[in-house]
Amino acid sequence: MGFFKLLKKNKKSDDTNENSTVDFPPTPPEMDIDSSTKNEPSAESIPMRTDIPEVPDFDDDFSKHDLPDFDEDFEPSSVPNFGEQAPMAEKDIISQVNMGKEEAPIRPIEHTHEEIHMQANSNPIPIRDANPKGPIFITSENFQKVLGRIKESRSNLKNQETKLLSLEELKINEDKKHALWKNKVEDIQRKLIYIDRALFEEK
Amino acid sequence: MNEGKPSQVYVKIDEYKEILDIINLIKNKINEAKKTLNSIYEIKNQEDADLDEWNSSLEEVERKVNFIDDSLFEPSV
Repeated sequence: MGFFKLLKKNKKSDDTNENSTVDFPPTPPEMDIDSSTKNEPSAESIPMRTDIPEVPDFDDDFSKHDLPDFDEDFEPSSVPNFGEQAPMAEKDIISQVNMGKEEAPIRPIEHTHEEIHMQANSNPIPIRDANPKGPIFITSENFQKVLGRIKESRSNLKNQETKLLSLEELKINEDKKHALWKNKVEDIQRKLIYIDRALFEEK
Repeated sequence: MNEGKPSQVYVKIDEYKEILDIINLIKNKINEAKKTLNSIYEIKNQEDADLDEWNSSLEEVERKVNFIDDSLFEPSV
């Protein structure tokens, strides 16, 4: 032990020489190890144990070992005879079943799966917030798309205006044709009346 | 910082609520225009039916006039 103590001291002295600038914690107080180990018994004085059982050799055949003999006249314990019981009346069975139901009532189904699904579809989560608190930003890509859609919508509306003008012209022509057709029908009616009178009127 | 993904550029939207209101108004106008167009289609279908009826009645009158013409100018002895 004194040898280790000497090595420890030399190592410490080397460390202090190499790292003289580094702060080290204070060294622990020196202890007299020889005096502290003086009362401990030496290894030779400790008595060896002789009552340790020997480990059996498991390579041997297991059947060689002696096993306790079971008694051949062993009989298992018989089931107790409770005798014949009278059959339970049907009324009692029903009452017991009903009693079990009363003890554990069935929870009523409030909403079916379809109803819940329909409620979820009928109440969609609002996406837009009409009253935002802060400023609203959209990406420049979406902004360009919106501008393009607005331009297309304006051109569509212009086309619809021209179509509406052509429809109005068609409607005016249709009204004129209707008037002509009406005049012709009235003329036919007048002539038919004239023929009717000329043929069948008595003079 | 954003490798491979271009940085997004955002555009500030002023008068957001007014834009939403105008979009709702436009949607309502589009629905009204659709309803008006459907009513025009119904009127047009009714007009076509009346024209077909008028055409059939005119053809009937034509047949009768032809019969009168045949009876008057090709008399059977």
